[in-house]
Amino acid sequence: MIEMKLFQGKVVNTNDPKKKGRIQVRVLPELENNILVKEKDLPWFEPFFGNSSIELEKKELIKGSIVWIMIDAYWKKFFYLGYYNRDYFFDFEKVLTILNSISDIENKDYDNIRFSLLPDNSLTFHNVSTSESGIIYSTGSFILHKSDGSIYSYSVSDFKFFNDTTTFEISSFKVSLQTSEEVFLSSDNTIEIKSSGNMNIDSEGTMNVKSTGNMEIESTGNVVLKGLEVNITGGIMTVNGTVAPTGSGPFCAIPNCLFTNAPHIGTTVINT
Amino acid sequence: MVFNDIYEIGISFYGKTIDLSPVNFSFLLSDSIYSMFPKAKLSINDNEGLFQQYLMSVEGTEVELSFGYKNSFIKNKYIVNTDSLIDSYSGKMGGYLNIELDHFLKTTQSKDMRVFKDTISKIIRRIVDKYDFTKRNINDSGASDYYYQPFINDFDFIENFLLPFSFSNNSKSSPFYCFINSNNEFNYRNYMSIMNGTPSIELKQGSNDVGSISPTNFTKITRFRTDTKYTYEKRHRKITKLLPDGEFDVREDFINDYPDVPFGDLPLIVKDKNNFTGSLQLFDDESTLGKIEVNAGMKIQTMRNAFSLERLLLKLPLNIDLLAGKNVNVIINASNTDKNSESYSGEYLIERSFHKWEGNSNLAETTIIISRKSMRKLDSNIFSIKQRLVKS
Repeated sequence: MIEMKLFQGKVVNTNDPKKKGRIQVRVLPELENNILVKEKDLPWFEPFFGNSSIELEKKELIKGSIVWIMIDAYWKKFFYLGYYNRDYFFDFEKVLTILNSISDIENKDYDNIRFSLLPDNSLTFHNVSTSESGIIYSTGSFILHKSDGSIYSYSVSDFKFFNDTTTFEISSFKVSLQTSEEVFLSSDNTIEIKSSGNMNIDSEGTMNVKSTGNMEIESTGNVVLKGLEVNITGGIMTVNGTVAPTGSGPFCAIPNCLFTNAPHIGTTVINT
Repeated sequence: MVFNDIYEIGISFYGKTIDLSPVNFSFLLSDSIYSMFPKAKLSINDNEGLFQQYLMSVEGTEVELSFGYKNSFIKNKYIVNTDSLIDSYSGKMGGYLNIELDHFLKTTQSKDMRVFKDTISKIIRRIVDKYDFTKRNINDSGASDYYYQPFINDFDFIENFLLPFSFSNNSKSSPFYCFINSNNEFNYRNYMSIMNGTPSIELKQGSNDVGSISPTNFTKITRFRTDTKYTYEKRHRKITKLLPDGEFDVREDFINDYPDVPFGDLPLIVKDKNNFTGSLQLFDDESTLGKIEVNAGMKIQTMRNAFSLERLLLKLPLNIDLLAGKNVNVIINASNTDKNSESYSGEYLIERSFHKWEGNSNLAETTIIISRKSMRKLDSNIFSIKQRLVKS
């Protein structure tokens, strides 16, 4: 059995050279004199909780804060517990201000919300009543899981989803999807692509545009259909209008036979 | 003051000798290997109440006592702990004034906060160098580690933060004892170091013959048994430790495992293999040699009160050489013969000493409690003797 006693102290260092989540604490009043007991010689305290070998947690207490600590009778085992006095730092109003900055958060009751406010004022929260939870970063970006299961994600700057082969990025000037894999866009309903500017579809391979319904290609400007060989096939082709003779090109500009006056041209081509 | 041209008996208060004949006071000086500080009791015939009137028995008064023979005596400085008046005369403040004295250092040290990173013996040397002692007997010890002195006084720090982890390869798993004796000598010594030297004093049984009265002849010998509470917990221990990988390490030890080299012929206690009687949890951190030795020291030092197994009380004429922490060779007669008892004679450690002056009877006497860990093996098999004594 190890007998531990409760003390209080001031956190002087959180940068554990062993990288084990320990903090260095000046024990008060037992080691309060910083001339007799140099800061570098102060004991290192292990966290008393979260020490499971299957559960890593680094959540040391803030430098300069007064904390509860435990020390064994021989001053050989040192543990830290938590902050000494919650009155001087525990302020739900701080948390509420951050929650209020996101209008999409529905329930902000003190009683329902579990939260962790980090030293840089980033907040993680979970509403135990509605399952609404999220992370609100000090930058203003947030990820929110709403009570209906929907997930909101907002970034004050770029947004990037990526893996080894694909990057989907939303930045202040473009939305891009870049991938070395196939891109498949499928819907049982309407897909609309709209652009107020230019739209370019560029393919280095074969491009197929297919529809089992009607297809319309319409432009209020010019339409250029350009290819090494252009085939128009698959049924009936109707071309309205007349041809003005230019002396070259595939279209004939003479509507009637000059000799018999029989119609020479039509608007419908069959067996294309 | 030389008294009867034989004894040196002196009392001084704040360094000033008082004008009082030794027949008017008595005292008892005591020291122990188990106690950091020696103690004293002083009884003064203050029938006029003058000593009390001049505040000579109030708490904190400095008293120096010297006692011995005129050419060889021990001296120590004490401080009044408490006083009481007995046998007062008809309700007046006169009578025998009893004063309990502590060693001067017990209540005159300052509490201090410090951090040490060194071996225990080096830390102790640094600390005791600050104080006046007649002599410093300090054995080397290891267990180099951080030791924190958390605003406590130096000797509390030594006793409660350093002594419990004292370890030395030379001690052969025998414990360290730290104490100041009645001659103001500071001792930090391990059992092997004390007992390995040849005893400088040989004590014999005295006779009724007046000519046999000598400071080395004891007039009385009795057994001195302590309670089994000191040994029971240590007979067969479970030694446990959490390993760095989270495993729980369980080992065992026996009271006879200490020291770890053959010492004497026959241990005075039988191993209890069937029952666990105690446990000790070691620190889980053994990342340095110093920390390994801290754990080794803890195992040994917790055996401190159970190390000696047999004790005798001897009474002799005043002999100021007999102080706690010395080893003596004791010749003890077998009953009804003048032959030495081979089983009882041998080397013993003085655990405690008492030096008494009784003014009203002019008696100067020494009492010592001596102890040993094992006995000499007899020619005959001791257990077969035991069987002969026990009827089946």
